[in-house]
Amino acid sequence: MTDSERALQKVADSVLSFEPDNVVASTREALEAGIEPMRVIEEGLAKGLRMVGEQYEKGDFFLTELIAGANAMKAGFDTLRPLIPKGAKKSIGRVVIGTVKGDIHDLGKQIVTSLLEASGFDVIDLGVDVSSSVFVGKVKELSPEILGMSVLLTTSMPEMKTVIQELKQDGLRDKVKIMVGGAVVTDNYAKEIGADAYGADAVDGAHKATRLVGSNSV
Amino acid sequence: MNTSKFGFQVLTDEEVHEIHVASLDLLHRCGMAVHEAKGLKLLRDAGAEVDFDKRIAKLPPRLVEDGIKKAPREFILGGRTTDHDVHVGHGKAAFRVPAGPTYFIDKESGTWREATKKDLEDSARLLNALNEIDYTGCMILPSDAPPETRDIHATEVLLENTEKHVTTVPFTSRSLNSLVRFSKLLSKDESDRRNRPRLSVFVAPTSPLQLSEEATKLLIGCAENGIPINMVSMAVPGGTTPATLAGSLMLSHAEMMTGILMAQIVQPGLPIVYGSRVTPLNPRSGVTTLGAIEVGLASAALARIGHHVGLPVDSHGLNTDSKVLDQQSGFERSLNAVIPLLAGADIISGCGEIESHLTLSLEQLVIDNEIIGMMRRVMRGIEVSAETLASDVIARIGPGGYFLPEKHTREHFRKEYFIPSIIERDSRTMWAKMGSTDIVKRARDKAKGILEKQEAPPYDKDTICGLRQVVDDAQEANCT
Repeated sequence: MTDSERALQKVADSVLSFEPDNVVASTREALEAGIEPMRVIEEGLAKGLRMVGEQYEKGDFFLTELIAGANAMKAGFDTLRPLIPKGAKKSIGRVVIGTVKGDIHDLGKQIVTSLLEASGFDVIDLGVDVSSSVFVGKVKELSPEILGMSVLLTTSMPEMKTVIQELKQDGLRDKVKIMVGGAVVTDNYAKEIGADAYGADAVDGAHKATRLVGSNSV
Repeated sequence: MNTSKFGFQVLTDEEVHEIHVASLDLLHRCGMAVHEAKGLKLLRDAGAEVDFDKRIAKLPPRLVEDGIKKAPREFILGGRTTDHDVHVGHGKAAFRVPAGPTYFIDKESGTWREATKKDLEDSARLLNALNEIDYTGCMILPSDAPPETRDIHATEVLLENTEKHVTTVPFTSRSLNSLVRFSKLLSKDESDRRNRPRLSVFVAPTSPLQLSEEATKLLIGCAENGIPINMVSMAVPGGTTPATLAGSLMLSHAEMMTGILMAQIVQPGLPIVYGSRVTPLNPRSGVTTLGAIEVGLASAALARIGHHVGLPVDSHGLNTDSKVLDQQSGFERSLNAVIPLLAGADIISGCGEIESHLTLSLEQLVIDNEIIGMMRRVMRGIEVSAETLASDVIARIGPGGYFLPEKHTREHFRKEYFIPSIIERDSRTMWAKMGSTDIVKRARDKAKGILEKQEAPPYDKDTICGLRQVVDDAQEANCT
């Protein structure tokens, strides 16, 4: 193993410590050893997160490790962000996400957000109780690849349909893929209101988002 | 010591005392039939009033109470290594497989048929891999072993294929010699054999108020040879005992105390498990039922009564009358196990059985392993400390935050929750993706997976030869 390989392995291992400080430190060391920032991301940070993902698939890790791993990796990524050359692809796509109007349930959306970030997405979280005009305005402003809507209350479900209709009226519907999720949502309901995909749980949501943008990453 | 943190008391202290005193009075007034001269003589020498013609021993209360006091409240039932030792009566319940099923659910076809030695071997190997089940009764009496020595064959297969403690069912006192040889063969030395005996034995008085010739011989023989006894009086309310539960508990307790007393006269301090059973008759058919809710209720009472006389208690529990692995099996075994468990029973039996102990199922063993995990989680209770209150973490995160990414969450998910292996808790979509299976299918797959991978835990050649020699000798002695 060369010195560079050793430094990159240390970055990957630090992700599995789930401590953001460890990841930042190992990332800096790799840079000081003269390794290209993009290589630190691909062969260090992303590799570490893949290792977390593999343990999760095997059943040895829980959701909490998956998310903590993603957060730790993000800390390393933020260190590198200013050094990434302009024009280099920093994410596999942009996602605008929020819990719909009338509903302040945050947990499901937060889990999905963490997993989307772990999958390489750039996620803009609009928070909870988000009105249709804010959803539409952000789609117009940020041109995301995916719009994600979360809901837990049955009473707020129709709000997702309203957002989709307003996107249509503004001629934006074809410019963005729409994903919906939440305990009360079903595959059928998603089809009925004209969404592109439905995430049965957070892991399923992250897989489907990755498929929607046609990427094979994590 | 009350082993239950929760202390579910189905009887008050006064009621327990009332039952105990009534049992003592019954033994004094009415006496117990002991159909074996040596047993009668032993009781007479100790101070009982014995009628040798009628074979009745009337026992003064003082004799009974002083005698049973000598039995220990805590002891070890030894496994092949100390990791597999069962600490009986130390405050945490142990769980075991019952003795005696003769039928088996075929692991390939799911059909019901007579059990074989191969089934016993599979069951024992599976048991070895199921971490929540502590030890086993005879597990299966295989139909393809010779009827007269089937008990010895079964015991040998178990000793070879599982590292866990075995409580066996000798058919007659003629089996005793083989059991003593097994027990000596598997212990390093005499003190190891006394401190962590590898084998123990069930001995059953016969309700109402009898000790058969064979039961008495076995009882005395085990005591002489230091083999621990799981004493099991099997009351059948409405049949061999009064229809009332209180009357059945009282009568059964009297029989138990007689057996315990005799063992303690022969060998003071011999480990004895208070394994009394109350198994009601189905009032319609006359068949005994193990799934009736009164089994759990009576078992909780027996736990109290057994502890009152200072013995660890073995209880019915994971039982069903159902012939298949259905909802009836699931709720009968869960309810009837959790009730005595909360009442402080030291050992809960039944793992893997269906059909009132007649049939053993590998799938049920795997499912029971999971149910026990859940029950053990209940018994661990809820820890309250600065660390578990997590005030600092809450204050740091504040309103509207979330706890999933926290180190505190990572550390406590594993400690705080029982993580099942075959219970399904995914979304419908994920469940469908995994094949839309039910728990029986998942249990069967897990059992097969274990049996494909897991070899029998290896013994050295000499020990295996020694064990098999005991069987051959028993076989030969039976033919001559």
